[in-house]
Amino acid sequence: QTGASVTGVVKDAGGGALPGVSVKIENKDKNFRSNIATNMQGLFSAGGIPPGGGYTFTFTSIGYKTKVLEGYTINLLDKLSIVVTLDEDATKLNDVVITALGIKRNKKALGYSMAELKGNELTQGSEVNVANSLSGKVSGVQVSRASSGSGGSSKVVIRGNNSLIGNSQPLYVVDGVPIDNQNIGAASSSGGTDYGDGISNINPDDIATISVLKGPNAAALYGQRGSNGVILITTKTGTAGKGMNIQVNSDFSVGSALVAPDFQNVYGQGLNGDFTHFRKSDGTIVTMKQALDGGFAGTPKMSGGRDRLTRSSWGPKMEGQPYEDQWGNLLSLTPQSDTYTGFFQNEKQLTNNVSVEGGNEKVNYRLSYANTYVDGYVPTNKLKKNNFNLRTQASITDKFKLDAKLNYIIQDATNRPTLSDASDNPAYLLISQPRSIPMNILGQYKWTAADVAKQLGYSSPVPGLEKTYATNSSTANPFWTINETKNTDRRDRVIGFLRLSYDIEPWLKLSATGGTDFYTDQRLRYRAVNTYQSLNRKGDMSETVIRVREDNFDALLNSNFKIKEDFSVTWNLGASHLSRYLRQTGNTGSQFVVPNLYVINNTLTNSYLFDLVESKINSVYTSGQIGYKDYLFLDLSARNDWSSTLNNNNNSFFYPSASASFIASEAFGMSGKTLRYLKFRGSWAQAGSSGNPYQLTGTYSLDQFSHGGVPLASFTTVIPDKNLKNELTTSIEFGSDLELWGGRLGLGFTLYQASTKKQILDVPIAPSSLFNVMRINAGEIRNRGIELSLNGTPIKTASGFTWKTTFNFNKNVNKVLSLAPGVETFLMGSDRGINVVAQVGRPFGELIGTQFAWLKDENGNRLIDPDTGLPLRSNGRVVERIGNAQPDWLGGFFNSFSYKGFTLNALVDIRQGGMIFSQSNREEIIYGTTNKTVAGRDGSYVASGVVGKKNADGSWSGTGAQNTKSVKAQDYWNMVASDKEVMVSEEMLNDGSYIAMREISLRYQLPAKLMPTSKIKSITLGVYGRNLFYFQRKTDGFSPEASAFNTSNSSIGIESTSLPMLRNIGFNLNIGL
Amino acid sequence: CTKDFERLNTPPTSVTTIDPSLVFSRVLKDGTFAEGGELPNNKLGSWTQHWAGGPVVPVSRYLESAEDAVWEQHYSLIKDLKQISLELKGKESDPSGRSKLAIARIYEISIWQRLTDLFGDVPYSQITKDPANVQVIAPFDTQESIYTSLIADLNSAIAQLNDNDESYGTADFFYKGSIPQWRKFGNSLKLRLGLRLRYANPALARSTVESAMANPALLLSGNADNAAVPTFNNAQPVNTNPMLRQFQTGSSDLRYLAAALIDKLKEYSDPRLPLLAQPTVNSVKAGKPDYAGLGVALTDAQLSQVIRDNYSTPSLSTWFSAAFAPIPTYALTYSEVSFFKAEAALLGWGASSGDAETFFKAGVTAAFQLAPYSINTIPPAYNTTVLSFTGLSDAQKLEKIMTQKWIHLFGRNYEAFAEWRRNGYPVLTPGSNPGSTGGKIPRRAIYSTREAQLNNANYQAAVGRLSNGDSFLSKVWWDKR
Repeated sequence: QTGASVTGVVKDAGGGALPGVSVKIENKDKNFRSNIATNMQGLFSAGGIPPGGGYTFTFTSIGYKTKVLEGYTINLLDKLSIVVTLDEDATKLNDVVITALGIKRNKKALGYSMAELKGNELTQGSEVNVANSLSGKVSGVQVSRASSGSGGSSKVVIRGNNSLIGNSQPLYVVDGVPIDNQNIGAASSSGGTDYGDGISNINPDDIATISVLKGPNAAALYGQRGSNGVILITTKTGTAGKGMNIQVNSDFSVGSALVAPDFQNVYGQGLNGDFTHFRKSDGTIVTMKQALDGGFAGTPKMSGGRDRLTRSSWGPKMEGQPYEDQWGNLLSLTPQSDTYTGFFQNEKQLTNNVSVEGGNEKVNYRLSYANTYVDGYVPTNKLKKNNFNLRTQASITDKFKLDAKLNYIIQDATNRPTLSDASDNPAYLLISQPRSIPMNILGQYKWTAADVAKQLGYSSPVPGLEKTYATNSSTANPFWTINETKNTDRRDRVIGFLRLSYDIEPWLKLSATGGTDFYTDQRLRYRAVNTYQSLNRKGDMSETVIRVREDNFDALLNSNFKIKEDFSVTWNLGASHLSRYLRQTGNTGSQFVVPNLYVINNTLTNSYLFDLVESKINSVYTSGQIGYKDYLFLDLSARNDWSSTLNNNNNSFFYPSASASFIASEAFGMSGKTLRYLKFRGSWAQAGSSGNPYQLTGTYSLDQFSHGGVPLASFTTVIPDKNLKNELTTSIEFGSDLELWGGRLGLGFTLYQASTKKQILDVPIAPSSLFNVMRINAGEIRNRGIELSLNGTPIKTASGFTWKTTFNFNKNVNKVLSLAPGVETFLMGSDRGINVVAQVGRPFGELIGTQFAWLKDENGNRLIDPDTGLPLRSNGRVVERIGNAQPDWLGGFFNSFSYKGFTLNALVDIRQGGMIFSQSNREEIIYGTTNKTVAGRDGSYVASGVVGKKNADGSWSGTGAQNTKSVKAQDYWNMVASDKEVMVSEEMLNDGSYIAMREISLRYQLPAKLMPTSKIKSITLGVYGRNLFYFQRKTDGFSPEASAFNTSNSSIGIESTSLPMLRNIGFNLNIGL
Repeated sequence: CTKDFERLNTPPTSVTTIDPSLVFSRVLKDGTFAEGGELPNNKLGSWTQHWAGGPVVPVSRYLESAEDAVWEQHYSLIKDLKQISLELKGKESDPSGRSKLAIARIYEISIWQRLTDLFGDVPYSQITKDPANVQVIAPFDTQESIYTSLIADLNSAIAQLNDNDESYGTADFFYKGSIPQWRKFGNSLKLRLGLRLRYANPALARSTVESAMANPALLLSGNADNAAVPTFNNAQPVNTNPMLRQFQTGSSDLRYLAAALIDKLKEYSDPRLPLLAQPTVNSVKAGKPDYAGLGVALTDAQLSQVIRDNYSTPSLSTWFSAAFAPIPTYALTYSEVSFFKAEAALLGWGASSGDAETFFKAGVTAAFQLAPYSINTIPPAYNTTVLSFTGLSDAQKLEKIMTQKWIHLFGRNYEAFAEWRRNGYPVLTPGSNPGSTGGKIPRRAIYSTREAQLNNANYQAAVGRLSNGDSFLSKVWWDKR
């Protein structure tokens, strides 16, 4: 060993050890510099130090005031030991935060609003997709999720939707390198499976901090992909210290439906309060009416059918009457309260995580392995994830440093549920099937010869065939689906980077980073022979391989110097290259030749699938900051992109930004007792964006199938524009942060406006134009809003009890200012009875009913037909605005109580406003399966509204008198909806407002004296609950925040026979060795 | 560093220019297949009472709903036909393009006719001609002006055909590139265009019909001249006959035939009945196989009484059988032409009244010969009773012609609906469900909601010209009966 060594311990004011404190040892004379950090016990040690005087120790830690110890002499044989106490820095705004390009900045110098969450502020417990844990925690961030359970996708929208196409989602950057967050092959309104998005692969346990950059103001340096904001994830690194530190983390949770449909358990299968058919004693079947008229002996009989006439719950009261079901089983008509819960199961989720970290002053490392196992809510749905992560940082020389990470993810999933309007979505059948069907009867999912002989209403069933409830394919038997159909998917993913940096001068640093994210998805699906819906009932399969790769290279020159005493200057110059690649190959085949052999060459007819998408972006950028004293900061940045997706004349585009920050409290020396910190900030920024590959040319494509060997081709339905230009988002924000009463109360607010112009839009045009859409630069969408965040420490006692509280609020007002010339409406999504559009002059996400409407008087009261007692409905279809899907405001209320080793956290997540159109409600009304359809079945239902009168011209007007005429509930609800093509659209609307108890967690860190052995350094126990209950919810039978079938704009405001969001209760154990 | 960008951004799975034959094949196939299948059968086909429809297709119960898909598909077919003419641009007078352009135009006219027949006024003259100059919004032309233009265009397209020119060869599903047969198709189409105007513009109708009838050799003159697209059974669903595809992929509730069709075939003791329909399950069980059609547009109360095993579907050994030799789909047949000729003869347009029965019987004979019936000899009793014109008034003769055409057009829903509306034969009794029409059979389809939203001003102007708004009850211009 050459050189001297030094050890030390860093403590807080209470004497507790402080881990993770950065310790910088410097000696300018000897040109020595070392950067180490304290371990879990607050200890640090450094060796190899040239002996001598003039050493400076700098201790910095987020949340504590930096301490500098100067003038130390270190001798060769001394064992210098330093004990340091750091004072808590109540001024959170002095925090160092990680900003764009991974540059650590003092938060007070930022001219824009950003938020940072520490690892321990993220969700306690096993949220598989880390994006979900942002919900309610950061103002301006809206999180919703696909209704696909664990392993599914999440949608994060920051400060409102900016873009009509795509999904308005932010860019995810992990350790300075963007990752792919595509959701390839997501579900659509007509079915499909959510295979999970890119961010769901990241192991939450590896995360140290998450920074949310809320738009181009904070993200200009990420270029076009930063225009919807950036979520910066910094993963944990090893810390230098004595020996290894091992963390073992185990987590187990159980999930059950938070909200299920409000089923009725009074009336069974049938129509008009009675059975529909009847089996006479001689075995022949007649209708119920004939049986009653004829006074026959026998048993009521059910019939299969596709529509509500045979398969609804508008039948008799369930009182134990004997009957024969449509397949021939002799049953008694009794309530079946478990028709939903009896199929699904509690989700069980087990996550184990082991990490080993350590290092010395030259090298540190962290190796982690996480294993996640989810036994899904839908039986047979399983998710397994193995995540290996190795991170190492090394000082090759004093000036030359290396930082590298390799993250390998293996994810295997089986039988992910099918969503939305597809036969094999299990919720589809379970919400609409008769309330009298016993689950064990449905569980007999194959036709037997006995069934075939006794069935009624089916078309030529054969033994072995999937036994469907209805005759039609639109409702597969969910027991068949989980047992005789299968889908599996496997993802192998590598995310890694290598960063080299060199300190050319103490004030000038050059770094270069190469990052890659590549993965292969292999997906297999099959449906066995005898699946009712498959072609000729002979089964089908598909196999797909998707290969995705994203490479990012950048070089950055970073300088930091002072001009005179008061002016500090930081200047960065960088260049980057991004390339993206996606190649998809696959085969689909139908009609198996040999049963139970699931390979393509066992199918009678098959076809290929091929896709290839590539693009590149090159960029140069520069940014700089000038600081005057400690209170005035000015930031400037500029970037130019060259994108392969635009043509040569337009593929270069430039966008700048500027921001400023002024710390009034420092400038005017206002650090008084009440107001001790006051900051003003302002920012203006632009971000360009160049759209997708292959958007410039109109092309012919060959059909997938020839016709008897004759090839077929057709021209695109999209009118391309060779001269497309980049989109441009311009954003401006102003805000202020202040702290009162010794830091006990902090307040931040921001006003912002962002508008995106010249969007690259596929504008839908009238079919008579011969095309579907016209691709042009057009339109302007504006988001304006206010963000507020309040944080305080109402109680902090000497005995160690602390109560911290945070409230955040965001109101975003969105307006579509223009679309293309002559285009007033932009269709984003469309489903049965509903269109989701953007309309000029209105906010994004207008919900347009496309089926029937009630006739109303001038006061908005429904008109009731005096003859029938039923509300009057428009004769034909109408197209009318019925609501908007955007929330009015979002909020979050977080409280944390700690006492000694106990910490209790509680998060309330709030959304107010925003409508959701529910396809489930329609099904429930058509089939009479929920409680709201029970009242008045005997004929005593009085529809609300005023009595109408028919005018001479055939139109109707109101008489003003309230309707009193009673009708059968069935007749009323059939006016509301009788088929997916016949409904009063507005009746399916739900207010999406909620106040949710998102999270409660209790943690207990055992005191050192309770450790069973000295080898165990720490033990933490935790229990938690997520999505516990609602203080307020207005939706009928589903969770408003998890009802969409995908995370794109096409599903905004539409619920489509969704699977329920789960309430998770779990516990975890963390052991430090 | 941007030099490979252009290569990188070249679409890897498509091309910017193409042999128009490939596009023509696709248009012929899709355009012809569009007439049949589950939805057309249960929408238009239930209005003409070939099919029973049912609650899952509300329009079959006279509940209004827009025909977005039909509208979009027709304009999409026209888009590809326009692309063919762009690919052949500059070859208008050249043997390598001249007749190909004429053939594409002739087929396009048949697509326009089908579209306007279903909806009435449609955007026609001002639509996009070239994707470089898109007409985002186009006015709706009146059906009268569309017909006038189609007839004039058809004349010039036929005149442009030249037997020695290059043609589409095997890409042409109808005629394997035979230009003389396309001439026959063109003239037969002219006959169809002309007679459609019979009550709306008799003068134009007559001159058009007479021009088409002038040389009988230039009309389809046997089943060999039928415009047909082959189908394939053990292939993808898109390659099978749309009727078989309905059986293989559709809803079992929508497979039932209407009472009117079964009753008429039973009344005629028509030998096609056992080849067209399946005896009911319960009649077979009872040992007395019999056929029964289901009522159309039934009320809820009626539907809840239905036991489907008492009703007939199409035959499980012909239309609904993958084991039966694939049945071609037809766009225009010699039978239809014969029925048009018979109708024209009754009017004395291009033939004398005495020829009507001959034409009529030739049409029925040809219809019997087609798959899946393949009946080469008409039973004598059928010939003397069902087909005889003896002692009948012109109206009765017309009713016989139209009734046979109605049977022949089973599975050809657009044409069957147009012809039923035009002449009012056979007389059909509406179902009992009031729907949106007060219990009347619809007379047209509702415009596309997309068109209504995105081309609203022009849509409103067109709706303003309709007697009953954009409803099932407004009649198109030529619908005078």
